[in-house]
Amino acid sequence: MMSVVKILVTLIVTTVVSLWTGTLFIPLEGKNIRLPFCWISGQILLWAGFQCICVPAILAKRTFSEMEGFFFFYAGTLVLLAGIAAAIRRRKSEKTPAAVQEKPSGQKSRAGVALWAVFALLLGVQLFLLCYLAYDEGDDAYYVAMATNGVSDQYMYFKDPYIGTGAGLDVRHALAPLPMWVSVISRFSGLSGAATAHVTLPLLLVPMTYCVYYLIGRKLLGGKKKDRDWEMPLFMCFTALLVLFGGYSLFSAENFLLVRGAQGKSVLANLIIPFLFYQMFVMLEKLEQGEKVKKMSWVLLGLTMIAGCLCSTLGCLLVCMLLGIFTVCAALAYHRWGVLLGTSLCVAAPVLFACLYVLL
Amino acid sequence: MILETFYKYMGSGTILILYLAAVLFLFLKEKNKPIRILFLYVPAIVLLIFFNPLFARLFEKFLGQEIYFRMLWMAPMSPTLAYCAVRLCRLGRGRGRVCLAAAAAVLIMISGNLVYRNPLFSRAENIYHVPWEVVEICDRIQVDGREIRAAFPAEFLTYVRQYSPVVCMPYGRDAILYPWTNDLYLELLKSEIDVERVAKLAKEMECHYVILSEDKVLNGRMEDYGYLFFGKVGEYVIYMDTTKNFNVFFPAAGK
Repeated sequence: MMSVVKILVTLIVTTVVSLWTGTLFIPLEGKNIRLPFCWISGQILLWAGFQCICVPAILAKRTFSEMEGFFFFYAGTLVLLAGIAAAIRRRKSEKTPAAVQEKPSGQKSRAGVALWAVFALLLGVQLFLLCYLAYDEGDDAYYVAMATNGVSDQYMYFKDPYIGTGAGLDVRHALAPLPMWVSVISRFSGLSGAATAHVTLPLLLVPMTYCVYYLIGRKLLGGKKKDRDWEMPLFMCFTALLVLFGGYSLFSAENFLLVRGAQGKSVLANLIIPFLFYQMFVMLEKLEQGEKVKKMSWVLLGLTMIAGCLCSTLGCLLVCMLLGIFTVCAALAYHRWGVLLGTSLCVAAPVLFACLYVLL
Repeated sequence: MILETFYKYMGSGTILILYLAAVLFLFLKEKNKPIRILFLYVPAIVLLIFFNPLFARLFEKFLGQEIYFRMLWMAPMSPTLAYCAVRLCRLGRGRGRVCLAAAAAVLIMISGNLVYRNPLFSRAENIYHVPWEVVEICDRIQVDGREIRAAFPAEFLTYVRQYSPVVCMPYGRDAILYPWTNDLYLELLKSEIDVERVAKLAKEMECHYVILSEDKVLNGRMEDYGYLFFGKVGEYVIYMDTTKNFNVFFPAAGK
């Protein structure tokens, strides 16, 4: 029972912190502020910072506790900054006359409500089974053991997690230290690394994944609000079904989501890459309307790229390739060559991590 | 390598057919330029790169072929399929729309495979998602303030260090993948165990404990080689090496 309380408290605290820090990106959304966007972008901001703190800490042979201290300082600073930003926004909104806000359309259609209920059921089943079923996943012997050891080891990534004896620096994994983030959450929650990786984090990451799909769905379906009432929940139901029935291959992103929830590869495939698609969509819309892409959009894109590096060493390559392909397509389609500059700045950090991988 | 990876990723191939149909639909019907770029042209380029033998060779050389399938994660299959399914439902009205949605859902279920049908899923025995025997054994053999080393049966190798950071092992998951690299592991795999050899190898590898399954036939008594019956957990017997030092000579990491 105590464990359930710890899990719930951890989920609430991590969600609230991500949401609150995500409000720093509100200027990107304008009046159409969406909680899922704040949640995901806040988490991305925290992950990107974690990567920039943890990798140097590992290479400099700093202890886990020191790294954790730096990260909490970073997270605390972001929370404070978000508070200041919120206060400034409030003052501004008090000074300017209240804009005529679009009234909510009142009642949702019955079909829409029913479809949301179906989606909630599908999501509920997935979350329940994440806790109820265990999966014999060989790679957990590395990642979960590393997360479990992270809390107790003096130096990070200097021990073979399979057997527990000292070894040289494991460069390949040390440059994508998501298990150390699992360790931080584990120590914060008071639960073991195994419980955190197998239960707490999947309960956090699966809903986050659906939030990204929700954001993509909103962009894809656009259209009339009346239609969106049933289209959005239907889109989410189909997505949930595609995830549930993603077992056609052991390698599909959907299968990874339900089987290896807290592993970096799964986060990369299900959260980072789809969120990149969402951000690219937003940029393309701006280009389509002849508007300038906001600097903050590039910042968020760059942070997402860094978060991709946190998840997997291959993440450096995949996010750079995806952004590169996108940029070529966008530049050719809209003849806006300025995107090349933004892209080159965004790929700087992943390229740096890739260079570290090659050099070390 | 490319085709093999692709076939593995696509399973039976039904989902691929659905995806190709969705892409064709987008190609013919989608007017929105951003959607065409992101869900048509970007995946097309990704696939062109994926099927490029030169790129595949370079990838294999520097990163290994076993992770090549991850390239396909850049083709957003789920959002594309879900979006096209919704577009399909737009064609109907009233009950027709419900029928179309139901048909699309059934099609998704038929072409996919329920993730939970995987035989590697089992009911979780505890919050740690590791076998209860691992939890029991580790809790019993742990010594406050230091690390200890124990030789576990093959079936527990991937779980022990997930549960306990202070229980070390003479061999780990590597031994499952490359069994010939560890003599003790090889010996413990046999149905009839040479006790003298196991005792000798375990001492050489500085093991404080040896855990043996009751299923195995022992050709002697561990007690004759300096081991003590320490306890039993389920069908597993724990033997403690009485010649080993269990004193706290260095603080357990983190303590």
